[in-house]
Amino acid sequence: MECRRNPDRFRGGVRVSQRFSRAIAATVVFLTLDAAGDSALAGPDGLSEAGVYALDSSGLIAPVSPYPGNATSTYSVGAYPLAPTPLVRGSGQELVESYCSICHSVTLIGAQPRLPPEIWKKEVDKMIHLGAPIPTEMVGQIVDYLQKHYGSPQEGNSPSVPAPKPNP
Amino acid sequence: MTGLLGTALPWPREAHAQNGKGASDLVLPDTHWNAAVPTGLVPQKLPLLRLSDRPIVLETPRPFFESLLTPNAAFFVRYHLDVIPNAIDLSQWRLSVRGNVSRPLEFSFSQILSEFEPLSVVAVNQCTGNSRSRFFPRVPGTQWGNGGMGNARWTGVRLMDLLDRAGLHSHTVALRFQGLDSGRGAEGTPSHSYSKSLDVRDPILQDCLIAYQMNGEPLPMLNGFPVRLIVPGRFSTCWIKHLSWIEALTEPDQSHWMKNAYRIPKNPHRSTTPEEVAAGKLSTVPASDVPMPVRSFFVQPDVSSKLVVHLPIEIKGIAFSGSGGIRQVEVSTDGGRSWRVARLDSDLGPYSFRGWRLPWTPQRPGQVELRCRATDGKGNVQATEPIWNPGGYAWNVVETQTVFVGESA
Ligand code: HEC
Repeated sequence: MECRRNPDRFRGGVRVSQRFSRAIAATVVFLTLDAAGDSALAGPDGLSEAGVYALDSSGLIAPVSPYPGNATSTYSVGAYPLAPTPLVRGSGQELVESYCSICHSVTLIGAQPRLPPEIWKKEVDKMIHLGAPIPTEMVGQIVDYLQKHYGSPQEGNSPSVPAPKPNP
Repeated sequence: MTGLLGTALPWPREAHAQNGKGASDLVLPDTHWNAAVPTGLVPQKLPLLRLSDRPIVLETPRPFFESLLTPNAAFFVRYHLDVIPNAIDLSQWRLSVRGNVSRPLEFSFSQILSEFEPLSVVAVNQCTGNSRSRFFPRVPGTQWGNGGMGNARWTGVRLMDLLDRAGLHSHTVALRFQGLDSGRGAEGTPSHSYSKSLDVRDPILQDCLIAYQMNGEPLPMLNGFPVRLIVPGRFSTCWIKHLSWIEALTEPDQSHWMKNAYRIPKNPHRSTTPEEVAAGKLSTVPASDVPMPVRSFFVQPDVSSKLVVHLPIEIKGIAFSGSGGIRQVEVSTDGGRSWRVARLDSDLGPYSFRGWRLPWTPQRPGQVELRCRATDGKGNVQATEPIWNPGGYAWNVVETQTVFVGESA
Protein backbone atom coordinates (compact mmCIF):
# COMPACT_ATOMS: atom_id res chain seq x y z
CA MET A 1 0.00 0.00 0.00
CA GLU A 2 2.57 2.43 1.18
CA CYS A 3 4.64 1.89 -1.91
CA ARG A 4 1.97 2.10 -4.52
CA ARG A 5 0.65 5.32 -3.11
CA ASN A 6 4.05 6.88 -2.94
CA PRO A 7 6.02 5.42 -5.77
CA ASP A 8 8.39 8.36 -5.74
CA ARG A 9 9.27 8.32 -2.12
CA PHE A 10 12.73 6.85 -2.33
CA ARG A 11 14.86 9.90 -2.93
CA GLY A 12 18.47 10.80 -2.54
CA GLY A 13 20.05 9.87 -5.82
CA VAL A 14 19.03 6.27 -5.67
CA ARG A 15 17.65 4.49 -8.70
CA VAL A 16 14.35 2.86 -7.99
CA SER A 17 11.99 0.94 -10.17
CA GLN A 18 8.81 -0.92 -9.47
CA ARG A 19 7.52 -3.96 -11.16
CA PHE A 20 4.63 -6.21 -10.50
CA SER A 21 5.59 -9.79 -10.30
CA ARG A 22 3.95 -13.04 -9.30
CA ALA A 23 0.28 -13.75 -9.63
CA ILE A 24 -0.71 -12.14 -6.36
CA ALA A 25 -0.23 -8.41 -6.05
CA ALA A 26 3.30 -8.24 -4.86
CA THR A 27 5.12 -5.05 -5.65
CA VAL A 28 8.81 -5.48 -5.84
CA VAL A 29 10.41 -2.20 -5.00
CA PHE A 30 13.90 -2.55 -6.08
CA LEU A 31 16.96 -0.62 -5.87
CA THR A 32 20.43 -1.23 -7.09
CA LEU A 33 23.54 0.41 -5.90
CA ASP A 34 26.48 1.39 -7.99
CA ALA A 35 28.96 -1.10 -6.70
CA ALA A 36 31.88 1.29 -6.49
CA GLY A 37 31.84 4.84 -5.26
CA ASP A 38 28.76 4.48 -3.11
CA SER A 39 30.21 3.39 0.15
CA ALA A 40 32.14 5.69 2.40
CA LEU A 41 34.97 3.20 2.06
CA ALA A 42 34.51 2.40 -1.60
CA GLY A 43 36.08 -0.61 -3.22
CA PRO A 44 35.04 -3.76 -5.03
CA ASP A 45 32.38 -5.04 -2.68
CA GLY A 46 30.70 -7.96 -4.42
CA LEU A 47 27.27 -6.54 -3.69
CA SER A 48 25.04 -7.72 -6.54
CA GLU A 49 21.66 -6.73 -5.17
CA ALA A 50 20.55 -4.87 -2.08
CA GLY A 51 17.49 -3.24 -0.61
CA VAL A 52 15.02 -5.36 -2.58
CA TYR A 53 11.67 -5.50 -0.82
CA ALA A 54 8.35 -6.96 -1.93
CA LEU A 55 5.09 -5.52 -0.75
CA ASP A 56 3.26 -8.13 1.21
CA SER A 57 -0.18 -6.56 1.34
CA SER A 58 -2.13 -9.77 1.30
CA GLY A 59 -0.03 -11.64 3.80
CA LEU A 60 -0.32 -14.63 1.51
CA ILE A 61 3.11 -14.42 0.05
CA ALA A 62 5.71 -16.36 1.89
CA PRO A 63 9.07 -14.82 1.18
CA VAL A 64 11.03 -17.43 -0.66
CA SER A 65 14.66 -17.50 -1.45
CA PRO A 66 15.48 -18.26 -5.07
CA TYR A 67 16.10 -21.96 -5.65
CA PRO A 68 19.89 -21.88 -6.04
CA GLY A 69 19.84 -24.35 -8.95
CA ASN A 70 23.36 -23.41 -9.95
CA ALA A 71 26.87 -23.40 -8.58
CA THR A 72 27.86 -19.81 -9.28
CA SER A 73 29.62 -17.55 -6.79
CA THR A 74 26.50 -15.46 -6.17
CA TYR A 75 24.61 -16.12 -2.94
CA SER A 76 21.15 -14.65 -2.78
CA VAL A 77 17.95 -14.55 -0.80
CA GLY A 78 14.51 -13.45 -1.94
CA ALA A 79 12.98 -10.01 -1.61
CA TYR A 80 12.38 -8.84 1.94
CA PRO A 81 8.67 -8.50 2.73
CA LEU A 82 7.24 -5.03 3.28
CA ALA A 83 4.31 -4.85 5.65
CA PRO A 84 4.03 -1.24 6.77
CA THR A 85 1.55 -0.43 9.51
CA PRO A 86 -0.76 2.24 8.12
CA LEU A 87 -0.61 5.63 9.80
CA VAL A 88 -3.53 7.03 11.75
CA ARG A 89 -5.70 9.22 9.49
CA GLY A 90 -5.46 12.93 10.06
CA SER A 91 -4.13 16.22 8.85
CA GLY A 92 -0.42 16.00 8.13
CA GLN A 93 -0.59 12.29 7.42
CA GLU A 94 0.43 12.67 3.77
CA LEU A 95 3.46 14.71 4.70
CA VAL A 96 4.55 12.16 7.26
CA GLU A 97 3.95 9.36 4.79
CA SER A 98 6.17 10.92 2.18
CA TYR A 99 8.98 12.32 4.34
CA CYS A 100 9.10 9.63 6.97
CA SER A 101 9.19 6.64 4.66
CA ILE A 102 12.33 7.51 2.75
CA CYS A 103 14.78 5.64 4.94
CA HIS A 104 12.47 3.27 6.75
CA SER A 105 8.83 2.29 6.77
CA VAL A 106 6.37 4.29 8.83
CA THR A 107 5.95 1.15 10.92
CA LEU A 108 8.60 2.66 13.22
CA ILE A 109 6.24 5.49 14.15
CA GLY A 110 3.40 3.28 15.37
CA ALA A 111 5.89 0.97 17.02
CA GLN A 112 6.92 3.64 19.53
CA PRO A 113 5.32 3.93 22.93
CA ARG A 114 3.12 6.99 23.41
CA LEU A 115 5.83 9.63 23.67
CA PRO A 116 5.47 13.06 25.26
CA PRO A 117 5.19 15.97 22.79
CA GLU A 118 8.73 17.24 23.32
CA ILE A 119 10.17 13.80 22.61
CA TRP A 120 8.38 13.68 19.23
CA LYS A 121 9.85 17.08 18.43
CA LYS A 122 13.28 15.71 19.34
CA GLU A 123 12.68 12.63 17.18
CA VAL A 124 11.97 14.77 14.13
CA ASP A 125 15.08 16.86 14.85
CA LYS A 126 17.03 13.62 15.17
CA MET A 127 15.74 12.46 11.76
CA ILE A 128 16.86 15.74 10.21
CA HIS A 129 20.27 15.26 11.82
CA LEU A 130 20.34 11.72 10.39
CA GLY A 131 19.73 13.17 6.93
CA ALA A 132 15.96 13.59 6.46
CA PRO A 133 15.45 16.22 3.73
CA ILE A 134 12.47 17.91 5.41
CA PRO A 135 11.92 21.56 4.42
CA THR A 136 11.86 23.79 7.50
CA GLU A 137 8.34 24.99 6.78
CA MET A 138 7.01 21.42 6.90
CA VAL A 139 8.51 20.51 10.26
CA GLY A 140 5.73 22.10 12.32
CA GLN A 141 2.94 20.20 10.58
CA ILE A 142 4.80 16.91 10.86
CA VAL A 143 5.50 17.38 14.55
CA ASP A 144 1.87 18.39 15.19
CA TYR A 145 0.61 15.24 13.51
CA LEU A 146 2.94 12.99 15.49
CA GLN A 147 2.17 14.69 18.79
CA LYS A 148 -1.56 14.53 18.17
CA HIS A 149 -1.79 10.92 17.05
CA TYR A 150 1.20 9.24 18.65
CA GLY A 151 1.84 11.41 21.67
CA SER A 152 0.97 11.07 25.30
CA PRO A 153 0.14 13.82 27.74
CA GLN A 154 3.22 14.70 29.80
CA GLU A 155 1.60 13.60 33.09
CA GLY A 156 1.10 10.08 31.84
CA ASN A 157 4.76 9.42 31.42
CA SER A 158 6.48 10.86 34.45
CA PRO A 159 8.61 8.89 36.87
CA SER A 160 6.25 9.62 39.77
CA VAL A 161 3.58 7.44 38.17
CA PRO A 162 4.05 3.70 38.65
CA ALA A 163 5.54 1.87 35.69
CA PRO A 164 2.94 0.94 33.06
CA LYS A 165 4.30 -2.53 32.53
CA PRO A 166 3.52 -4.59 35.56
CA ASN A 167 4.96 -8.03 35.70
CA PRO A 168 2.78 -10.58 33.98
CA MET B 1 3.61 -18.26 17.33
CA THR B 2 0.88 -17.25 14.97
CA GLY B 3 2.36 -18.79 11.87
CA LEU B 4 2.97 -17.73 8.34
CA LEU B 5 -0.07 -15.57 7.79
CA GLY B 6 0.73 -13.35 10.73
CA THR B 7 2.48 -10.99 8.34
CA ALA B 8 -0.86 -9.51 7.26
CA LEU B 9 -1.86 -8.40 10.72
CA PRO B 10 -1.58 -4.75 11.52
CA TRP B 11 0.31 -3.79 14.64
CA PRO B 12 -2.05 -4.41 17.55
CA ARG B 13 -2.64 -0.85 18.66
CA GLU B 14 -4.10 -1.83 22.02
CA ALA B 15 -0.94 -3.63 22.86
CA HIS B 16 1.08 -0.46 23.23
CA ALA B 17 -1.62 2.07 23.94
CA GLN B 18 -1.68 0.97 27.53
CA ASN B 19 0.16 3.91 29.01
CA GLY B 20 -1.36 6.57 26.84
CA LYS B 21 -4.76 8.01 26.38
CA GLY B 22 -7.24 5.50 25.05
CA ALA B 23 -5.68 2.94 27.35
CA SER B 24 -6.89 -0.55 26.77
CA ASP B 25 -7.96 -3.16 29.27
CA LEU B 26 -6.28 -5.83 27.21
CA VAL B 27 -4.14 -7.87 29.55
CA LEU B 28 -0.92 -8.79 27.87
CA PRO B 29 0.13 -12.31 28.72
CA ASP B 30 3.82 -11.76 28.87
CA THR B 31 4.99 -8.21 28.34
CA HIS B 32 8.66 -8.74 29.10
CA TRP B 33 8.94 -11.08 26.19
CA ASN B 34 6.89 -9.11 23.63
CA ALA B 35 4.39 -11.93 23.16
CA ALA B 36 1.81 -9.55 21.64
CA VAL B 37 3.85 -8.49 18.61
CA PRO B 38 2.90 -9.95 15.20
CA THR B 39 5.30 -12.34 13.59
CA GLY B 40 6.95 -11.80 10.26
CA LEU B 41 8.60 -14.21 7.92
CA VAL B 42 11.75 -13.31 6.03
CA PRO B 43 14.16 -15.41 3.97
CA GLN B 44 16.07 -18.07 5.94
CA LYS B 45 14.11 -17.41 9.13
CA LEU B 46 11.27 -18.92 11.11
CA PRO B 47 8.43 -16.57 12.00
CA LEU B 48 9.94 -14.05 14.43
CA LEU B 49 8.51 -11.01 16.21
CA ARG B 50 8.50 -8.25 13.64
CA LEU B 51 9.45 -4.92 15.20
CA SER B 52 10.15 -3.31 11.84
CA ASP B 53 9.72 -4.46 8.26
CA ARG B 54 12.08 -1.93 6.65
CA PRO B 55 14.83 -1.93 7.86
CA ILE B 56 14.37 -5.47 9.14
CA VAL B 57 14.18 -5.80 12.90
CA LEU B 58 13.07 -9.16 14.28
CA GLU B 59 12.97 -10.36 17.86
CA THR B 60 13.50 -13.97 18.93
CA PRO B 61 10.40 -15.39 20.66
CA ARG B 62 10.98 -16.68 24.16
CA PRO B 63 10.60 -20.45 23.55
CA PHE B 64 13.77 -20.52 21.45
CA PHE B 65 15.82 -19.79 24.56
CA GLU B 66 15.09 -23.36 25.70
CA SER B 67 18.09 -24.14 23.53
CA LEU B 68 21.43 -22.86 24.83
CA LEU B 69 22.58 -22.18 21.28
CA THR B 70 19.94 -20.08 19.53
CA PRO B 71 19.01 -21.66 16.19
CA ASN B 72 20.19 -19.59 13.23
CA ALA B 73 16.67 -19.50 11.80
CA ALA B 74 15.39 -17.98 15.05
CA PHE B 75 18.29 -15.62 15.75
CA PHE B 76 17.24 -11.97 16.13
CA VAL B 77 17.89 -9.45 13.37
CA ARG B 78 18.56 -5.75 13.76
CA TYR B 79 19.46 -3.31 10.98
CA HIS B 80 19.60 0.47 11.24
CA LEU B 81 19.52 1.09 7.50
CA ASP B 82 17.32 -0.55 4.93
CA VAL B 83 19.55 -1.25 1.92
CA ILE B 84 20.29 -4.77 3.10
CA PRO B 85 22.15 -7.17 0.80
CA ASN B 86 19.97 -9.60 -1.14
CA ALA B 87 22.77 -11.06 -3.25
CA ILE B 88 26.53 -11.16 -2.78
CA ASP B 89 28.98 -12.38 -5.39
CA LEU B 90 31.89 -14.02 -3.60
CA SER B 91 34.05 -13.86 -6.71
CA GLN B 92 33.96 -10.06 -6.34
CA TRP B 93 33.60 -9.67 -2.59
CA ARG B 94 36.75 -8.73 -0.63
CA LEU B 95 37.46 -7.87 2.97
CA SER B 96 39.71 -4.88 2.79
CA VAL B 97 42.14 -3.69 5.44
CA ARG B 98 43.29 -0.17 4.78
CA GLY B 99 44.10 3.18 6.31
CA ASN B 100 47.12 3.56 8.56
CA VAL B 101 48.75 0.21 7.70
CA SER B 102 52.01 -0.73 5.98
CA ARG B 103 50.34 -3.01 3.43
CA PRO B 104 46.72 -2.31 2.50
CA LEU B 105 45.26 -5.73 1.74
CA GLU B 106 42.15 -7.28 0.28
CA PHE B 107 41.22 -10.78 1.33
CA SER B 108 38.98 -13.01 -0.72
CA PHE B 109 36.62 -15.39 1.05
CA SER B 110 38.78 -18.39 0.17
CA GLN B 111 41.91 -16.67 1.49
CA ILE B 112 40.16 -16.10 4.80
CA LEU B 113 39.20 -19.78 4.84
CA SER B 114 42.59 -21.17 3.88
CA GLU B 115 45.31 -18.80 5.01
CA PHE B 116 44.46 -18.36 8.67
CA GLU B 117 44.04 -20.61 11.67
CA PRO B 118 40.33 -21.21 12.29
CA LEU B 119 38.88 -21.03 15.78
CA SER B 120 35.50 -20.92 17.49
CA VAL B 121 33.92 -19.06 20.37
CA VAL B 122 30.45 -19.42 21.85
CA ALA B 123 29.24 -15.89 22.49
CA VAL B 124 26.08 -13.97 23.20
CA ASN B 125 25.11 -11.33 20.70
CA GLN B 126 22.84 -8.84 22.44
CA CYS B 127 21.45 -5.56 21.15
CA THR B 128 22.46 -2.61 23.35
CA GLY B 129 18.76 -1.74 23.50
CA ASN B 130 17.55 -5.22 24.45
CA SER B 131 14.57 -4.90 26.85
CA ARG B 132 14.16 -1.21 25.99
CA SER B 133 10.38 -1.54 26.47
CA ARG B 134 11.08 -1.87 30.20
CA PHE B 135 12.44 1.66 30.60
CA PHE B 136 10.26 4.16 32.37
CA PRO B 137 9.69 6.93 31.42
CA ARG B 138 9.48 5.19 28.05
CA VAL B 139 12.17 6.07 25.51
CA PRO B 140 12.06 6.02 21.71
CA GLY B 141 13.81 3.26 19.79
CA THR B 142 13.10 -0.38 18.99
CA GLN B 143 10.76 -1.58 21.74
CA TRP B 144 12.50 -4.86 22.41
CA GLY B 145 11.18 -7.31 24.95
CA ASN B 146 13.93 -9.64 26.13
CA GLY B 147 14.50 -11.32 22.76
CA GLY B 148 17.00 -8.92 21.20
CA MET B 149 19.71 -11.45 21.97
CA GLY B 150 21.00 -14.85 20.93
CA ASN B 151 23.86 -17.22 21.62
CA ALA B 152 25.83 -19.00 18.90
CA ARG B 153 29.06 -20.80 18.22
CA TRP B 154 30.97 -18.48 15.91
CA THR B 155 33.80 -19.88 13.83
CA GLY B 156 36.28 -17.84 11.89
CA VAL B 157 39.71 -16.28 12.06
CA ARG B 158 41.33 -13.85 14.45
CA LEU B 159 40.92 -10.20 13.57
CA MET B 160 44.49 -9.66 14.79
CA ASP B 161 45.87 -12.23 12.35
CA LEU B 162 44.56 -10.18 9.42
CA LEU B 163 45.74 -6.93 10.97
CA ASP B 164 49.21 -8.36 11.58
CA ARG B 165 49.49 -9.17 7.88
CA ALA B 166 48.59 -5.61 7.01
CA GLY B 167 50.90 -4.20 9.69
CA LEU B 168 49.21 -1.54 11.82
CA HIS B 169 51.26 1.63 12.05
CA SER B 170 52.09 2.70 15.57
CA HIS B 171 50.08 5.92 15.76
CA THR B 172 46.81 4.20 14.92
CA VAL B 173 44.14 5.18 17.48
CA ALA B 174 41.09 3.23 16.37
CA LEU B 175 39.86 0.59 13.96
CA ARG B 176 36.72 1.31 12.01
CA PHE B 177 34.51 -1.50 10.75
CA GLN B 178 31.89 -1.26 8.03
CA GLY B 179 29.68 -3.77 6.25
CA LEU B 180 27.82 -3.94 2.96
CA ASP B 181 24.50 -2.65 4.27
CA SER B 182 23.72 1.01 3.74
CA GLY B 183 20.85 3.46 3.78
CA ARG B 184 18.94 5.77 1.49
CA GLY B 185 20.06 9.00 3.10
CA ALA B 186 22.39 11.28 1.14
CA GLU B 187 26.08 10.44 1.19
CA GLY B 188 27.81 11.91 4.20
CA THR B 189 24.72 11.71 6.42
CA PRO B 190 24.43 9.15 9.22
CA SER B 191 21.49 7.52 7.43
CA HIS B 192 23.73 6.64 4.50
CA SER B 193 26.12 4.27 6.24
CA TYR B 194 26.66 2.56 9.53
CA SER B 195 30.12 1.92 10.89
CA LYS B 196 31.62 1.44 14.32
CA SER B 197 35.08 1.76 15.78
CA LEU B 198 37.03 0.12 18.56
CA ASP B 199 39.94 1.73 20.38
CA VAL B 200 43.18 0.21 19.15
CA ARG B 201 44.31 -0.35 22.78
CA ASP B 202 41.12 -2.19 23.68
CA PRO B 203 42.17 -5.67 24.92
CA ILE B 204 39.02 -7.17 23.38
CA LEU B 205 40.67 -6.88 19.94
CA GLN B 206 42.73 -9.96 20.85
CA ASP B 207 39.51 -11.97 21.18
CA CYS B 208 37.70 -10.62 18.13
CA LEU B 209 36.90 -13.03 15.32
CA ILE B 210 35.94 -12.58 11.74
CA ALA B 211 33.33 -15.31 11.61
CA TYR B 212 32.20 -17.19 8.53
CA GLN B 213 30.20 -19.80 10.42
CA MET B 214 27.39 -19.56 12.92
CA ASN B 215 26.51 -22.79 14.74
CA GLY B 216 28.47 -24.69 12.12
CA GLU B 217 26.58 -23.24 9.15
CA PRO B 218 27.18 -20.34 6.78
CA LEU B 219 25.84 -17.13 8.31
CA PRO B 220 22.24 -16.39 7.32
CA MET B 221 22.17 -13.32 5.06
CA LEU B 222 20.39 -11.31 7.75
CA ASN B 223 22.99 -12.21 10.36
CA GLY B 224 25.86 -10.96 8.25
CA PHE B 225 26.82 -13.29 5.38
CA PRO B 226 29.58 -13.76 4.30
CA VAL B 227 31.51 -12.68 7.43
CA ARG B 228 30.69 -10.83 10.61
CA LEU B 229 32.82 -9.22 13.29
CA ILE B 230 32.49 -11.05 16.60
CA VAL B 231 33.32 -8.96 19.67
CA PRO B 232 32.79 -11.41 22.55
CA GLY B 233 31.23 -9.95 25.66
CA ARG B 234 30.27 -6.69 23.97
CA PHE B 235 26.92 -5.44 22.68
CA SER B 236 26.00 -6.14 19.05
CA THR B 237 26.36 -2.51 18.02
CA CYS B 238 29.96 -3.27 17.06
CA TRP B 239 29.42 -6.81 15.65
CA ILE B 240 29.40 -5.46 12.10
CA LYS B 241 27.49 -7.66 9.64
CA HIS B 242 28.64 -8.29 6.04
CA LEU B 243 32.01 -6.96 7.24
CA SER B 244 33.90 -5.63 4.22
CA TRP B 245 36.06 -2.71 5.33
CA ILE B 246 38.46 -2.39 8.21
CA GLU B 247 40.20 0.94 8.42
CA ALA B 248 43.04 1.94 10.74
CA LEU B 249 42.35 5.52 11.86
CA THR B 250 44.83 8.11 13.08
CA GLU B 251 42.09 10.26 14.63
CA PRO B 252 39.19 9.13 16.83
CA ASP B 253 36.01 8.28 14.90
CA GLN B 254 33.71 11.32 15.13
CA SER B 255 30.74 9.81 13.31
CA HIS B 256 27.16 10.00 14.54
CA TRP B 257 27.17 6.29 15.38
CA MET B 258 30.09 6.77 17.79
CA LYS B 259 29.48 10.29 19.10
CA ASN B 260 25.68 10.53 19.41
CA ALA B 261 24.23 7.05 19.27
CA TYR B 262 25.00 4.11 21.54
CA ARG B 263 26.38 6.17 24.40
CA ILE B 264 25.71 4.97 27.92
CA PRO B 265 26.17 6.76 31.25
CA LYS B 266 29.70 6.56 32.59
CA ASN B 267 28.66 5.01 35.90
CA PRO B 268 28.47 1.40 37.09
CA HIS B 269 24.69 0.98 36.72
CA ARG B 270 24.48 2.89 33.41
CA SER B 271 21.70 4.85 35.02
CA THR B 272 20.73 8.49 35.17
CA THR B 273 17.58 10.65 35.34
CA PRO B 274 15.75 12.83 32.81
CA GLU B 275 16.69 15.83 34.98
CA GLU B 276 20.40 15.07 34.84
CA VAL B 277 20.20 14.65 31.07
CA ALA B 278 18.27 17.92 30.68
CA ALA B 279 20.90 19.73 32.77
CA GLY B 280 23.57 18.51 30.36
CA LYS B 281 25.52 16.97 33.24
CA LEU B 282 25.64 13.41 32.03
CA SER B 283 28.97 11.99 30.94
CA THR B 284 28.83 8.98 28.67
CA VAL B 285 31.00 6.30 27.09
CA PRO B 286 30.45 4.35 23.88
CA ALA B 287 28.42 1.22 24.67
CA SER B 288 30.81 -0.78 22.50
CA ASP B 289 33.76 0.06 24.78
CA VAL B 290 32.45 -1.76 27.86
CA PRO B 291 31.52 -5.36 28.71
CA MET B 292 27.82 -6.26 28.70
CA PRO B 293 26.44 -6.23 32.23
CA VAL B 294 25.37 -9.48 33.88
CA ARG B 295 21.81 -10.70 33.17
CA SER B 296 19.64 -13.73 33.88
CA PHE B 297 16.26 -14.84 32.53
CA PHE B 298 13.50 -17.32 33.22
CA VAL B 299 12.79 -19.62 30.32
CA GLN B 300 10.46 -21.99 32.21
CA PRO B 301 7.94 -21.64 33.66
CA ASP B 302 6.58 -18.97 31.38
CA VAL B 303 3.05 -17.83 31.97
CA SER B 304 1.49 -19.92 29.20
CA SER B 305 -0.26 -22.19 31.69
CA LYS B 306 -0.89 -22.57 35.40
CA LEU B 307 1.24 -24.74 37.62
CA VAL B 308 -0.45 -27.43 39.70
CA VAL B 309 -0.11 -27.32 43.45
CA HIS B 310 2.24 -30.05 44.82
CA LEU B 311 3.36 -31.01 41.31
CA PRO B 312 7.16 -30.56 41.12
CA ILE B 313 8.64 -28.60 38.25
CA GLU B 314 12.09 -27.46 37.29
CA ILE B 315 12.58 -23.71 37.07
CA LYS B 316 14.96 -23.18 34.15
CA GLY B 317 16.74 -20.21 32.75
CA ILE B 318 19.82 -18.69 31.21
CA ALA B 319 22.39 -16.14 32.33
CA PHE B 320 25.37 -14.38 30.83
CA SER B 321 27.82 -11.56 31.35
CA GLY B 322 30.54 -9.78 29.43
CA SER B 323 32.77 -9.94 32.54
CA GLY B 324 34.12 -13.38 33.28
CA GLY B 325 31.08 -15.58 32.76
CA ILE B 326 28.55 -16.61 35.39
CA ARG B 327 29.60 -17.46 38.93
CA GLN B 328 26.18 -17.94 40.50
CA VAL B 329 22.45 -17.68 39.87
CA GLU B 330 20.02 -17.33 42.76
CA VAL B 331 16.29 -17.85 42.54
CA SER B 332 13.56 -16.57 44.80
CA THR B 333 10.12 -18.17 44.89
CA ASP B 334 8.73 -15.63 47.35
CA GLY B 335 9.10 -12.31 45.61
CA GLY B 336 12.68 -11.70 46.71
CA ARG B 337 12.47 -12.42 50.46
CA SER B 338 14.59 -15.55 50.36
CA TRP B 339 16.97 -16.89 47.73
CA ARG B 340 18.27 -20.33 46.77
CA VAL B 341 21.25 -21.07 44.58
CA ALA B 342 20.39 -22.69 41.25
CA ARG B 343 22.46 -25.48 39.69
CA LEU B 344 24.52 -24.30 36.74
CA ASP B 345 24.56 -26.36 33.53
CA SER B 346 27.77 -27.16 31.69
CA ASP B 347 30.02 -24.27 30.76
CA LEU B 348 30.33 -23.40 27.07
CA GLY B 349 32.79 -20.61 27.79
CA PRO B 350 32.78 -17.22 29.51
CA TYR B 351 30.86 -15.40 26.75
CA SER B 352 28.08 -17.98 26.32
CA PHE B 353 24.62 -18.28 27.84
CA ARG B 354 24.93 -20.39 30.98
CA GLY B 355 21.93 -22.64 31.59
CA TRP B 356 20.68 -22.94 35.17
CA ARG B 357 17.90 -24.87 36.91
CA LEU B 358 16.23 -25.32 40.27
CA PRO B 359 13.63 -27.93 41.27
CA TRP B 360 10.57 -26.43 42.92
CA THR B 361 7.26 -27.71 44.22
CA PRO B 362 4.59 -25.06 44.65
CA GLN B 363 3.06 -25.54 48.10
CA ARG B 364 -0.04 -23.35 47.93
CA PRO B 365 -2.49 -22.27 45.24
CA GLY B 366 -2.24 -18.60 44.29
CA GLN B 367 0.01 -16.10 42.61
CA VAL B 368 3.76 -16.44 43.08
CA GLU B 369 6.54 -14.05 42.11
CA LEU B 370 9.69 -15.78 40.96
CA ARG B 371 12.91 -13.80 40.68
CA CYS B 372 16.34 -14.68 39.39
CA ARG B 373 19.59 -12.86 40.07
CA ALA B 374 22.99 -13.64 38.61
CA THR B 375 26.52 -12.84 39.77
CA ASP B 376 29.28 -12.77 37.18
CA GLY B 377 32.92 -13.85 37.29
CA LYS B 378 34.01 -10.40 38.45
CA GLY B 379 31.48 -10.37 41.28
CA ASN B 380 29.00 -7.99 39.64
CA VAL B 381 25.40 -8.65 40.68
CA GLN B 382 22.31 -7.64 38.69
CA ALA B 383 20.61 -4.39 39.57
CA THR B 384 17.55 -4.68 41.82
CA GLU B 385 16.19 -1.19 41.18
CA PRO B 386 15.10 -0.13 37.67
CA ILE B 387 17.72 1.80 35.74
CA TRP B 388 17.03 4.62 33.29
CA ASN B 389 18.99 6.30 30.51
CA PRO B 390 17.75 8.23 27.46
CA GLY B 391 18.88 5.66 24.89
CA GLY B 392 17.20 2.75 26.66
CA TYR B 393 20.48 0.86 26.80
CA ALA B 394 22.09 -1.84 28.95
CA TRP B 395 19.01 -2.91 30.95
CA ASN B 396 20.05 -5.63 33.38
CA VAL B 397 17.57 -5.44 36.21
CA VAL B 398 16.59 -8.63 38.08
CA GLU B 399 13.79 -10.43 36.21
CA THR B 400 10.49 -11.23 37.82
CA GLN B 401 8.23 -13.99 36.56
CA THR B 402 4.73 -14.14 37.96
CA VAL B 403 3.22 -17.62 37.91
CA PHE B 404 -0.20 -18.87 38.93
CA VAL B 405 -0.56 -22.06 40.91
CA GLY B 406 -3.91 -23.84 40.60
CA GLU B 407 -5.71 -26.03 43.10
CA SER B 408 -6.22 -29.76 42.80
CA ALA B 409 -8.33 -32.25 44.69
C1 HEC C 1 17.30 10.25 6.08
C2 HEC C 1 16.74 9.03 6.58
C3 HEC C 1 15.54 9.13 7.52
C4 HEC C 1 14.37 9.81 7.33
C5 HEC C 1 13.94 10.62 6.13
C6 HEC C 1 13.58 9.58 8.51
N1 HEC C 1 14.24 8.75 9.37
FE1 HEC C 1 13.51 7.97 11.08
N2 HEC C 1 15.20 6.88 11.33
C7 HEC C 1 16.30 6.92 10.49
C8 HEC C 1 17.32 6.04 11.02
C9 HEC C 1 18.68 5.81 10.39
C10 HEC C 1 16.79 5.47 12.18
C11 HEC C 1 17.44 4.47 13.10
C12 HEC C 1 18.14 5.21 14.17
C13 HEC C 1 18.78 4.28 15.13
O1 HEC C 1 18.61 3.09 15.02
O2 HEC C 1 19.47 4.79 16.03
C14 HEC C 1 15.45 6.01 12.33
C15 HEC C 1 14.60 5.65 13.36
C16 HEC C 1 13.34 6.18 13.57
C17 HEC C 1 12.45 5.85 14.66
C18 HEC C 1 12.73 4.82 15.75
C19 HEC C 1 13.15 5.50 17.00
C20 HEC C 1 14.58 5.94 16.98
O3 HEC C 1 14.82 7.10 17.33
O4 HEC C 1 15.47 5.13 16.64
C21 HEC C 1 11.35 6.64 14.52
C22 HEC C 1 10.14 6.67 15.44
C23 HEC C 1 11.53 7.43 13.33
N3 HEC C 1 12.74 7.13 12.77
C24 HEC C 1 10.62 8.35 12.89
C25 HEC C 1 10.80 9.12 11.75
C26 HEC C 1 9.88 10.16 11.36
C27 HEC C 1 8.64 10.57 12.12
C28 HEC C 1 10.35 10.67 10.18
C29 HEC C 1 9.78 11.80 9.38
C30 HEC C 1 9.71 13.06 10.06
C31 HEC C 1 11.59 9.96 9.87
N4 HEC C 1 11.82 9.04 10.84
C32 HEC C 1 12.35 10.16 8.74
C33 HEC C 1 16.42 7.64 9.34
C34 HEC C 1 15.44 8.45 8.80
